[in-house]
Amino acid sequence: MKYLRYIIISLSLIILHFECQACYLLPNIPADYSIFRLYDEELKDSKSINELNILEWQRYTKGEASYDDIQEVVYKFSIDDMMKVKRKQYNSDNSFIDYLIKNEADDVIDFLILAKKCEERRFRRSDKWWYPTKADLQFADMQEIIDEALSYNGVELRPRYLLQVIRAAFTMGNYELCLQLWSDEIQEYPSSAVKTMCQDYIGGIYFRKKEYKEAIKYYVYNYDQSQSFWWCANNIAELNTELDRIKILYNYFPDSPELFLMVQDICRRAEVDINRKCRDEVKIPEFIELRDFALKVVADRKVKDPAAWQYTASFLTFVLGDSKLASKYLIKAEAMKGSSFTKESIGIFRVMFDAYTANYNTSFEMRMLTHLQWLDNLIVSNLTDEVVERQMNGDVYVFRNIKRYYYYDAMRKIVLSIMVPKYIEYNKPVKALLLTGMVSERLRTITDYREHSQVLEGEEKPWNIDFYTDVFNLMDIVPVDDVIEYAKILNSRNDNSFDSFLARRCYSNADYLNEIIGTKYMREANFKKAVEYLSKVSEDYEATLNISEYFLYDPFTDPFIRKVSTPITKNRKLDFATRMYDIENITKNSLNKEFALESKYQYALGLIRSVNDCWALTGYEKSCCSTLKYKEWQNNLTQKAHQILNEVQSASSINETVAKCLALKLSYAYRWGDSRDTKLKYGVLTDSLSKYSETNIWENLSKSCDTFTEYLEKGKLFGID
Amino acid sequence: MRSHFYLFIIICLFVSSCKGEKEREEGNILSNPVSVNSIYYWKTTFKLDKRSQNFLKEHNVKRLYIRYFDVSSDNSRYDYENYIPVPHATIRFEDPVPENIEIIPTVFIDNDAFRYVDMQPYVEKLVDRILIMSETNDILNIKEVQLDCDWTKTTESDYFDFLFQAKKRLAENNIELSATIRLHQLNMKPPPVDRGVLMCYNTGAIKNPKTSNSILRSSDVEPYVKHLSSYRLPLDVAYPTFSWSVWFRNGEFQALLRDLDLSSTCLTMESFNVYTVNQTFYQEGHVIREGDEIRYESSNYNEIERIKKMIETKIVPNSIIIYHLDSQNLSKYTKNEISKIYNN
Repeated sequence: MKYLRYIIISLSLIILHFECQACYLLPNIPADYSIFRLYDEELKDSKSINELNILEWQRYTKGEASYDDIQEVVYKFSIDDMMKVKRKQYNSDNSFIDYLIKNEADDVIDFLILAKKCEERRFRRSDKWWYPTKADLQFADMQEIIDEALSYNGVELRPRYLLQVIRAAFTMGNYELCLQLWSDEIQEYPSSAVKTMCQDYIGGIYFRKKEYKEAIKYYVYNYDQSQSFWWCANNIAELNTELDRIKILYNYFPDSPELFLMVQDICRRAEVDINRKCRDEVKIPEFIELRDFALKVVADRKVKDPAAWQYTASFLTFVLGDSKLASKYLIKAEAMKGSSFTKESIGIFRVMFDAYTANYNTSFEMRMLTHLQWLDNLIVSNLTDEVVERQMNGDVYVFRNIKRYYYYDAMRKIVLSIMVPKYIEYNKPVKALLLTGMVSERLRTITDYREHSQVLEGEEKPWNIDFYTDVFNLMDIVPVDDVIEYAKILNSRNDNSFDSFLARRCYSNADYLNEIIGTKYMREANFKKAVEYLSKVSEDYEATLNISEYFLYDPFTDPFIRKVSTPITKNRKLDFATRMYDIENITKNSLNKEFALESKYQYALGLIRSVNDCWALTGYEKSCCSTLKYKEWQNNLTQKAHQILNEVQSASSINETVAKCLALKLSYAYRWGDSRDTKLKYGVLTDSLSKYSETNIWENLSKSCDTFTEYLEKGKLFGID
Repeated sequence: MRSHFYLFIIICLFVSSCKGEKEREEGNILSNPVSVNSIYYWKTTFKLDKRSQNFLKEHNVKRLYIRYFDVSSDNSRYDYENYIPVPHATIRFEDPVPENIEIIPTVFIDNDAFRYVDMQPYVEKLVDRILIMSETNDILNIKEVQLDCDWTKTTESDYFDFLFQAKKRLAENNIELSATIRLHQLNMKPPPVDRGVLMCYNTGAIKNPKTSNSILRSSDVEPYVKHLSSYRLPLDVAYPTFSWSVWFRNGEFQALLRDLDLSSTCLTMESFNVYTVNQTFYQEGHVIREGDEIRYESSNYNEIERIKKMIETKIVPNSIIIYHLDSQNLSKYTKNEISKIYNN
């Protein structure tokens, strides 16, 4: 029960458990990151057909011509440029042209002239304002291309010439010639960019003939023709859902990378939607259908990567809530043939699966250690410049929990949304801290990014993101002893290899940890301990805190008299804690009763102000003052201060001291609201204080406080009858 | 005395002929083509079914305004910065055009083209394309081309410049230019063309759910009729014979439905031309949902008659044109009604 309070807070505020989220759109939280991964993003960068064509020309030149020069000649040269080359009048640096001239490749030059002629004539026809004249309808210009291309007797350039024939014949609508060339010759060619380009035209012919089932077969070979594929598909079947699309694509192209992208989209939606438990809106039947379809694909034995489909089935079964069956499927997926990319995705799912289903005992830790080490290696070895740059440029990624990088996000999801809540549930908060510390800091540690600029008071300074990380949030709310234990593990050699693995990856800055521990002790009014830890903090460290510019007032001046700026020292938290500890000692040791009571008043003043005007002494961000966790220690310290003030008020025989106690209570009675009760309370306190109208406090208060004066004049506060 | 009278007559005739020459030079030519029964052909494929052929013959239609293509942006409708005017929906001639019927190639130009683009470079392209299309499809002896654009005050100047250049370019081929005139354009300057066609349809606000019939309503026409007698352009008049259904959802216009079967059980009649959808169904590429509203609009003969009378008290149109040649729509009118529209 000891931890019940912070378990509730931590679960609701920071680490959203895998199964405990609401249905509204949550901000970036690790539980919403996507673990499921089937589509290799690098495939997006696969080469276009034109790029492949350039590479084929490059191979023809045995690498002597540069890619850019070939591109210039093949795709940008005009007929005139090529004619100049033929007449040996081309005077510009181009390694492809140099190669052709040096090797007397007149047949290639002739071919390029013909190809450009063909292109120019086709281009004229593709102008949207163009309309065929009667002469155009005779296609004499295109027939000339066909005749010239077919007259080529060589072997090497034959496929390229036939491509020109197909282009010209296609433009003429002479589809029979195209189909004949394809079936008689081109279809037997080995795969190449030229053959793929021919295939696209053949697909186009069948499309125009409305023979969509035939057309679609030709489009599957060229990823650039995805749109054409879907045009055909829409004519073949009714494609109302994403699953319909998956099924038809699978039928024609079981190994299409696009298929993986579509499956991934659905699984990622399942991952988040089911996680949020929006059962009414979640398309459970769609997920079940996809799971069953994935199993069918495995059984069909048509795909190169069956493990990917088995993994899909396992993952969907898992998110649908059947861990037992999911485990069976996962074991099968692990044993199946699959690409290294798929195997890696399965491995990551295995880590998540084990984290979710295991008992959190020692053997689990050993197994988990291996998993986390593997995942950590992936984080390190796959780090790209882009990720590093983003990390360097954006603290906002930490602050807003934005997704950063697949492997790191996967680690954060597993650790923060599954493991940490489980450790808290099993009453092991220090383990929870170690895990959170590891994932909070890992990417920053690898990228050597930690900004700690010291900026003097009043100057702009960047936020110290150390005080916004997940581990800080957890340290902020767990009992101080747990943070001390956590700090101890970070700074000592550890026999437990699991702890040691985690600890080595945490941020173990002594200033950081001692500052937090010292502050937490202040919240408990344990100033002896606070001094012990805060005195270990380096002199300049406080200037790096976000809140350093909020040490505005001296906590020991009476707040109702006037705002007195805090003395500028290097460690105001330590100064405050030291003074409070001194006051404790003076109170204990003083033989003079009134002197001791005055000290107690000072102590109560310090307590009450440290959670009000001087909140920076106990809090880490201005907005925190309204949060549940801050209210908790604010109430504790205020209550404690009130007890002391009551004690001083009844024990002191000095009117000034009694009046000060009343005035301090009065000052904060009206500060946190203007309810009727507050106003009445204020009235009672003011009435009591009226008995001490000869004191300095009375005089100061009536000069500086409008509310007080109003009450004195009217005998009531606004809104109270 | 008698010789003086003859001299006066001769002088009067000479003066009036000089004035005519001057107007001709200024572009306000009062050309006088033969008055014939005419009709628009506004589809993307030119194919005359038997009923259409019969209609042409039966009503002695001698002039056919064929929509050749539309000119609008190559890019998204709202991508104004990249507005590139190109032909769209070019007609495909599956049948030859009938002999002994004069063909007037007609092109619709999106008014936004004049709002966002300098259209002058497109005059040549447009005229050339019309001429080539005519030649390729054996449409010979073109005497007139018509341009259709819903121009407004802001585009008037650019559109008129375009017309002026097009007219000049067509004149090189002895072809005249006409333009459509919408009712609201009657109180604006007449376009610099040889003649106009007053469009007596699409008179109401189609997207307004409160409109009862946006195709034709005499009350919508009436306010504009007064401008007719002073309009300085010879006019033919076009009357509608089409119908459609206007689809609304929550009072918002969605689309026009041209083939909706109003006897469908998915529809419940609310008033004489308004229906509510009682069951979701699929129509012309749209999902029509339960609760949506359909407004059926047609060109009522009596309304045409009323408007025709209204107009003919102000001007005598050169020719009457029917919009448009669609045997299904035309079958809703009797032979006599069509004859009356044509003033036969």
